[in-house]
Amino acid sequence: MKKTVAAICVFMLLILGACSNGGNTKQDTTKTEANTSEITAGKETETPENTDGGEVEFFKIGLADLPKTMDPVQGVGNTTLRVHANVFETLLVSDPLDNFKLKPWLAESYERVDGKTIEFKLRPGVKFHDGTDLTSEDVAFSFGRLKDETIPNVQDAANLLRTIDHVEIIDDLTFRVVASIDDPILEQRVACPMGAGIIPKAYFEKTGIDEFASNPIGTGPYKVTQYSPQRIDLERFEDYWGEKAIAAKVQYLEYPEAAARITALINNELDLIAQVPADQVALLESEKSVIVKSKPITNMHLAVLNTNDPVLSDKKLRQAMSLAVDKQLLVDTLWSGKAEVPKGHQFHEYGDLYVEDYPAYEFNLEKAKELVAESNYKGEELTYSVVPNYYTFGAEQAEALVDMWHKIGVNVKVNFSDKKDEAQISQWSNTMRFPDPAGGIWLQWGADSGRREKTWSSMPDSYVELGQKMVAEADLAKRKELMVELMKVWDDDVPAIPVYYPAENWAYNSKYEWEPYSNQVIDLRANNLGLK
Amino acid sequence: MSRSSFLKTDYIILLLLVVVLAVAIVVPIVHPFDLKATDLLNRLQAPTFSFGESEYFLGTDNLGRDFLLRLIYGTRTSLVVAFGALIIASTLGILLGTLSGMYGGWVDSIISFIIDAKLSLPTTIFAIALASFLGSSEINMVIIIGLSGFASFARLVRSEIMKLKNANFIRASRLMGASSWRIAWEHFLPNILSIIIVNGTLRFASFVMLESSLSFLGLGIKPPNVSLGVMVSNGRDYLFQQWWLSIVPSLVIALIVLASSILGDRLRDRLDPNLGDLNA
Repeated sequence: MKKTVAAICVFMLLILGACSNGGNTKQDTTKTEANTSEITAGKETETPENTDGGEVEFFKIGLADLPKTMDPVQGVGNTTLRVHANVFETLLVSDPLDNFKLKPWLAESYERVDGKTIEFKLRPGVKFHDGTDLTSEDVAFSFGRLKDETIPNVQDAANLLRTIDHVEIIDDLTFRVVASIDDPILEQRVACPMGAGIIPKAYFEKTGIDEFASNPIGTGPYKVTQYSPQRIDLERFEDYWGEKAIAAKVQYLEYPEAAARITALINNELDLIAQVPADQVALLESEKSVIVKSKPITNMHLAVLNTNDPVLSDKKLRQAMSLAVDKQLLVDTLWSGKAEVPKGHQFHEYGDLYVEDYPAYEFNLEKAKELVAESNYKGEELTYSVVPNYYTFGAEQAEALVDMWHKIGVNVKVNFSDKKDEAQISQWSNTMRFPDPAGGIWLQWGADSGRREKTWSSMPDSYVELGQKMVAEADLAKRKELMVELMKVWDDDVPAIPVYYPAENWAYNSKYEWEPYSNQVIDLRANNLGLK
Repeated sequence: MSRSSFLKTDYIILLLLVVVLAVAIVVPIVHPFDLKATDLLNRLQAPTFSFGESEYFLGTDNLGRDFLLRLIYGTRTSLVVAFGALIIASTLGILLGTLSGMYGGWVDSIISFIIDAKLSLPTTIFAIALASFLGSSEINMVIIIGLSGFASFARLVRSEIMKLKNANFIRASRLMGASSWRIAWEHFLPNILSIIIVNGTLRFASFVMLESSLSFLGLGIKPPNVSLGVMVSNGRDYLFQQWWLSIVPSLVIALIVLASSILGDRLRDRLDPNLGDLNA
């Protein structure tokens, strides 16, 4: 059979003969990518020594997708992380290059008063981009905003800082952040690069929310000069309190296609790109003018199963669909082994809270088939909705999952659409906001997360109780126990299938020195971006 | 000018077209293949022609699927969609053109207005708008492309019928009491058939292009189904290393378009009565 097919298609050889230019593209996909993992994390950033001599006029960054707004609390997500951190700053910083250890940032010092309260002292002389001074008023205003439910897509950010009850102003530079419950991780919350950025009260009140969202100011090393969802122009803020960044101007450009981003980087049209598919790493590494860096990121890709859907409301079907996904295969092939199969909805970065012996997600076709047989599933076609070009390997993962589900008799079709559709199965990722289950599972899947309305109306009461207890638990060991219980309920109910922790590949022009962060922040400050 | 002589290269290209058609029709019948099935362990295998060792003649794609088989299935989809669209476009075009040409008056004014309005819109933009409105499936693609291409048929048929309308044999037949339907069916249609075939062959090329463009843009055929445009689109992220993933389907598109254009040109040389008059 194969022979006849081959024979019939000899004509293609004629055409292709002209095109095959020797064997210079010879490659072995499994081998070429194996050597890239050694350039991953662990390397301390070194401040380049000759920053004073080195100045760059323009630094251009190509990303698959840019933030839809520049308001630090609206629709926080992976796209905002890559841009916002250069414009807005938080009171404390949770250093991704140092195990997310907390460090003073806009706050010069801080002190725990009691379980609910922290007293902060602001760094004097910090200025906003319009020249006004940063005061306690601005902090109170920035945190207070999160209570305003009329702000579009504010839930994620609001959730993050939900325990903050109010800010008590003592003087211009001193204030207390007071939580509504005993919150052992209040410091981590105010250090989160998503949603906890401080903005100026006076300017915001003058401009209003719409104007602010496209023309924002913060205290960061760069100010926004022009914003559109396709292009963001930044200019160095000369009165920045910290060390001067090396690039006078920064431009973020939208390049949805990976191939276009890579070409632009090689042709020097861009200086830095993110989301390089693992398949292309070998190619980029062979370019002398390019450096590639890879890191696992504090993120988890999931296939969300909408339990509100009549077919997917069947728990056994959801459990079967999870068991049918061979996560390790996806990790080994698509990601060349650089991604990782999660053990429960938790992140390594939790540190002491990470449960090492929690079982990894199982792949078991037999069990899956049994569960499908026991379920009420009758062959209905389900839709897996995917936003093209949003997640690295999103399309490939979707088609592979559809095939895996097909093997247990579950019919799913992929629907590519620019509009996110969560009606049945959808692609999502969960980014850890801070190293604690309150910044992971409970943030994205908690009682206040909006998941209940959107996709998980059957959220068990036991789950809600456990979560609420856990968030208020100050004792680490007990908190960990509660987290394990919480994860068990979540895994049993399968509101989503965690597929893998992805790895991220960044590439940049080799004349620079730059270090990516595992939390996906692209930091252009002087201590992280320098000339060689 | 000798209007019937084929050049040697024409024969080669037409032969290739026949082979492509035959393969696209026969192989899916004799070798059924699950387009959904993936084989991740075998992803991005190199094709035999370049490095010789692969068991896949054209290698595998980014999900480990046999690229040659996908190419054949994709070609079939593209051809089926283009052909289906051709039937819709020509039927609609003949219907509107005949009505307009035969009756004249306000019928003609309205239909001509529709045709002009359609022709004033760029085809691709019109098709993109329709595709985003209707959503995409194979059937919808056929309808969308058919609706995007009917105007040229309608205009052609209208002008031919206006020319024929006052010919003596039509008048005679009318005097003998033939109904309009009968005149249209027995006299107009056979007389304009050759010109429709020529136009159809030429339009076929542009329909294949349109299908590929829409699928490339993600508005056309959706996975697991595959078409040539989908394959070009899927392959473009791999252009540097696995260039064949998008170059080979592009070549097939080019071949189909070139061959059907040449076929159309030659058919016109032979069949078009207008050209015949010029040369006589």
